[in-house]
Amino acid sequence: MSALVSIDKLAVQFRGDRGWVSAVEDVSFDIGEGECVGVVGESGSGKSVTALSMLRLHPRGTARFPSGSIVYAGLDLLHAPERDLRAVRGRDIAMVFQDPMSSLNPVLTICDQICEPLRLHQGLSKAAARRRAIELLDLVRIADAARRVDEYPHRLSGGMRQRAMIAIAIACRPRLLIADEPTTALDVTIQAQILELLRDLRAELGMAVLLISHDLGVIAEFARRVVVMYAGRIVEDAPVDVLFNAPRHPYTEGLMASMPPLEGGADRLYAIPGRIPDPDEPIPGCRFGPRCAHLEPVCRASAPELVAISETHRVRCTPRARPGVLA
Amino acid sequence: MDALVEARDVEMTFASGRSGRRINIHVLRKISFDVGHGETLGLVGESGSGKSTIGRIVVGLHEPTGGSLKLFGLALTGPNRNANLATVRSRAQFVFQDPHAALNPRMRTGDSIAEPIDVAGAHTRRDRNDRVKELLDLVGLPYDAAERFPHEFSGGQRQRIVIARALALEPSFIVCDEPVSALDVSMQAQVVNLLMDLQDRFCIGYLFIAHDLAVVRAVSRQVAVIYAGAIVELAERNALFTSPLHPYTRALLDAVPRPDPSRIRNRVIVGEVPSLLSPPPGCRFHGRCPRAMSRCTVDEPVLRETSPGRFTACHLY
Repeated sequence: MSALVSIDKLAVQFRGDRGWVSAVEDVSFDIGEGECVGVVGESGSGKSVTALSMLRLHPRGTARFPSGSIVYAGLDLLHAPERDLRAVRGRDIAMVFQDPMSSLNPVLTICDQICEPLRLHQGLSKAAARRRAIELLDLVRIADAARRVDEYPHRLSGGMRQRAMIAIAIACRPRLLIADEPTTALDVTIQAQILELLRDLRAELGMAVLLISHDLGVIAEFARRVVVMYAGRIVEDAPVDVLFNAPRHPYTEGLMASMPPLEGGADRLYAIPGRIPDPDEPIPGCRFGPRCAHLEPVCRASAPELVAISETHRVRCTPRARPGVLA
Repeated sequence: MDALVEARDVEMTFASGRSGRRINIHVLRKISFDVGHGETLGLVGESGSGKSTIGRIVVGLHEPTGGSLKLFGLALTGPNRNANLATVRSRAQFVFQDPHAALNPRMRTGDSIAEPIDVAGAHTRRDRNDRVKELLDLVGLPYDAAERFPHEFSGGQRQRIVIARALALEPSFIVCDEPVSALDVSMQAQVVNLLMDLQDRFCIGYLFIAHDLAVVRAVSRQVAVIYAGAIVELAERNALFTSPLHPYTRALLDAVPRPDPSRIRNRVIVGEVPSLLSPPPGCRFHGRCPRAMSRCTVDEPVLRETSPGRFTACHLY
C-alpha cells in the first residue's frame, strides 16, 4: 500500500506563559490510500493536535513546528504556502469535528454550507451545487433531503447535524477524511448510526479515514490499524486485532483494563494510578514511567524510542521491545 | 426499614414558551422506583430522556407536578414539602457532571469543601479545618490542596474535590449526575472506585445517572432504563445486562462499541428519540422498535412486574 499521507517526526509546540510548550514530539506514521487508521489517547495526548497539524488549523501564531514534515502528494503541508494549503483543505483532505453545533455556521442554511466547498473547489454553478447538496444529504441518509437542505443548523438534531457535517466533508470526494471524535457528543444509538454511515461511505468513496477517539470501543469497530498516543508521543502502533489481542505497551494494557466491562465479573475497576502529566512537566526517561507497573531502571535512564518489533507493530517501551519478550 | 427514596408515579411537566402561546411539556411520566440504604440505583438513558430531571426532583430542586415522592420517609410532595425539605436537605447531596463548572474558580479548594459546613453552622474554625483535612484524605488528595485553587487541578482531581464537598455533611444519599462522563478513561476508573469505596465505608445510597452503560453496570445494584420520560425497564443489574427484555434496552446494549475487533455488530436501530413536544401515540419507542406490533401504535404499555423484581413496559411481556 502506497502512503497517501506521510507524517515524519512531527513536533508541535504551543506558546505558553513560560515560553514554548511541547505538545507533540516525534510522531511518525503513514496513512495508506483507502486505509482506515484510528488514533486513540486521552486528553492531552496530542491526538487532535496531530490531526489539526495536517491541515494547519491551529490558531494563527500560537503553534510552531520545530521539526518534521507531513507530506501529501509531494507537498509538505507543514511548510507549504497558505495558498497551496487552501487548495488541499476541504478538497483532498477534509475534516469532521467533535461538536457539530459549534462547527456549523448558525446563520447559514445547510445548503449554503455544503455548497461552499463545491463552488470553491469545483466551480459549480449555484443551481448545480444545490442539486449536488441534496444528493449529498441523501447519501448521508437524511430523510426528506430536498426540504432539509434549506434548514438552519438549530432546526436539526445532534445526529442530523453530524450527518450534515459529514456531507460537507465528503462534498469534494476527499482522499482522506479526518474525523476528530465524530461521535463523542452523540448518544450511543446515534453514535452507532454515524459509525455505520462512515463505514459505508468509506467503502463507497474509497477514501482513507483517520479516526480520532478516546473510546477504544469505537476504534476497535472502525479502524484497521491503531496508533496509541500518550503525552504527545506514539506509544504503540499496530493492526487492530494485534493491538487488542496482544498489546505490548503497559499504557495500552492499562487503558484496556480500565474500561468498565459490559460482560463478566464486575467488581472493582482497574485504574491506572497517577494522572496524565502536564506537557511542560519534566519527567526523566519514559513519560509513562511514573504510572507504569513494570518500571525498570532503564526506563528512567533514557527516553525510549519507538521500535519496530515486527513489520506492522511498533512500540515505545524499552523493556517490552526487547527481542523475545512476551512473544 | 424505610427506603431512602420512594418515588411513586412521579410526573413532571414544564411550561414553555411565552404567555399566550404557552405549551406544557410532559417530561416525566409515572416514574416509580426505590433507592435503599447503601444501595445504588443506576439510571441510564439518552439525552433528553429526563434522567437529570429525576435527579433534580429527588434532591428537591424541582417540585414534581404529580405523584408522590418520599426522601428518608418524609414526603417531598404535598403541603409539608418545604418543612420536610428543610429537615432532609443536608442529608441528600449532589455530584455534578462537570467539575470545572461546579467549583467556584475564585474560592480556595478548602473553602469550597467547607462551604456546606459553614452554611450548616455550629462548627468552630478548628473543627472546620480538621474536617476539611479529613475530607481531603477520604478522597485521596494531599492536605495542601486546601490552599490551592480549582484551576491547579486536573479534571479527575476536581471531581474528587466536588465529591469531598458532597461528603462534608455526612449525607446518606447522593445523586451522582454523570459524575465521570467528563473524565478520561483512566481517571474515570479511579473516581468510580472512590465512589464505591465511600459507599462501603459510610453506607451511602446513590442515584447514579449516566448515559454510559458500562459505567452504570460497574456501580449499580439495580438499573432503570429510561426512554422519552418513562422507565421502560427496571431490573437487578446482572439480569438486565445478561438478558435485557425491552427492545430499547437491547438496542442500547447492541449500540455500545466494544473493544473487540472481531465482534460482529447486530443491526443498528434507526431513527432518533422523539420530540417531547409532539410525542408519538402509543408506545413512544414504536417508531424505532424492530418488534413493534399494531397494538404498540395506539396503546401505551405500562411498567409491570413481568417476573419477580423485574419490571418491563412492553406489550411483548
